[in-house]
Amino acid sequence: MLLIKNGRVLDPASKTDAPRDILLDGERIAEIAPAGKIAHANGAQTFDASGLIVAPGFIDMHTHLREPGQENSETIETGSHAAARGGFTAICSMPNTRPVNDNASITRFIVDRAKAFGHVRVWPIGAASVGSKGEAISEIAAMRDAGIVAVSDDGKPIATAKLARQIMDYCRSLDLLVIEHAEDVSLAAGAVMREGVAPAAAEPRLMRGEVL
Amino acid sequence: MNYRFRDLLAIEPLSADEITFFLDQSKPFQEIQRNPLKKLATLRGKTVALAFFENSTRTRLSFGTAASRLGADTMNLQAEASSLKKGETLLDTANNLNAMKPDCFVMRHSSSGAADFVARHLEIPVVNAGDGTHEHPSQGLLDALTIRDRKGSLNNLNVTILGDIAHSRVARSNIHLLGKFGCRFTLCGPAMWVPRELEHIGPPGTPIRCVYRVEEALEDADVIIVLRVQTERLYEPSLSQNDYILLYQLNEERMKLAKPDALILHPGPINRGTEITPDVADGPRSAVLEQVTNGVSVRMAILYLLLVGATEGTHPALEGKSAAQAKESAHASD
Repeated sequence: MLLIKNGRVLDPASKTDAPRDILLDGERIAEIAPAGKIAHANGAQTFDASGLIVAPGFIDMHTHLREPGQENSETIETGSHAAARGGFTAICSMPNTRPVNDNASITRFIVDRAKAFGHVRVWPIGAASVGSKGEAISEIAAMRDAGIVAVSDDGKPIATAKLARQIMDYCRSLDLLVIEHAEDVSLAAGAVMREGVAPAAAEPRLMRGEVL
Repeated sequence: MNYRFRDLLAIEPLSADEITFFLDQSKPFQEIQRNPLKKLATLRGKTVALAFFENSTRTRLSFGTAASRLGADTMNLQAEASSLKKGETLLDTANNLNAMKPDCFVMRHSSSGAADFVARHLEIPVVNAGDGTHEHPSQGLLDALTIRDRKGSLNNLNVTILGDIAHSRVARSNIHLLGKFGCRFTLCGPAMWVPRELEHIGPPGTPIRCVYRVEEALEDADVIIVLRVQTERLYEPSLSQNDYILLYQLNEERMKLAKPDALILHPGPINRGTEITPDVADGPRSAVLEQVTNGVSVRMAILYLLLVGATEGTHPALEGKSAAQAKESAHASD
């Protein structure tokens, strides 16, 4: 049992922003009460959260864990460790690994690696098209069974409007999210920043097409 | 009754009575298929042009066999080996073939409406053997004959069609036909192949629902029509075969959800192990080979009705049968 006391509890879901003590029992929250009012704290370890914010873990919807293929940059272990240090208890990893996460075997590898070496929950995102090349549709249903939570060709936008439409229809019937990398590659042309005040054209143009 | 059209281009404009008439006219030709002598003189001296601008083995052989068994000669155009490669237009090809004086034009083409177009320019009867994604009337009729023989009637059945329905002329002809007999339809497949607009085809008021889980589609089905998965489609990004098998393959386990006497049809050719497993395709509920046999009978009826027309008196198929039997007993007594 762990008692986290004197912290400022921030929980948007229950619209809480107040001083609260929290009692943890194993993996569950046993009790939340105003400071000093926890009833059954006998024998619990205590953690003094004075001056600190206590919140539900954050979720990062867009991370790159670079495993398999680019473990010199990052691994599931290092990326999830950094996430934990930042308060993120769940992270979604984009599919532009090497090889691309476009089939159930790669998805299973990532899930198994995360179970063995991850510090937080890792929820893989599957590639929308094979190799993210924008031609054939990946085995999205098989990847869903292996554990993906969403689909994306991240690194690039989905190659054609037609493919994007088909993938959105397909994913709707499979209850999967589609995450778009909203960048018109021809307009962005390798640049990194727009000179000036207003937003760049490349992102709104793509989104307008896909939302319609 | 008499069939009121010169051509057979589509199921949609036919009435339920006309369809029943076609099916009834096919029955004596079913008898002929069982005879040792499968030859009639009904269309002797007539020529049937088989103009297949799009590939086919099954339908072409079926129409060819039907014509031969009726005593007719055939003219055979096959897409690859033709001057279409040299850029000859459809109309020129049709007029050229027509100039060789066939009595009937059976055609298949990759464009919807092609048969209708040709029919407007020819004086002879035109039979649509499949036009684009529009219709395949003889397939609709042979499927109906198979269902009627196995189930006793076409009325008020729950019909499930499984697969790539958006691109299927077979599915459309089936819906137009069975919809005229009060059937209810469930269309099932991957979302991009089963658009919601399909809920509005068929005779007005036909109950059609689109579902995306095969389990839902199989409950209470009386007839299950399985469509072939083309692993390469023109103009379309291809769907993963693994996914199709995972989500939609018709196997024994899934068939437990259907009625015990549910009938399984497939227009062919079958991809064993993709849209259907071998044990289901070869099992007792499958009528796939009967469909093919019925196809010849139905096509004999179509050619007969368009070239000769129904008359009072003995059906020529039955006349042919009694002639064959008379011949046999004559030999036997020699």
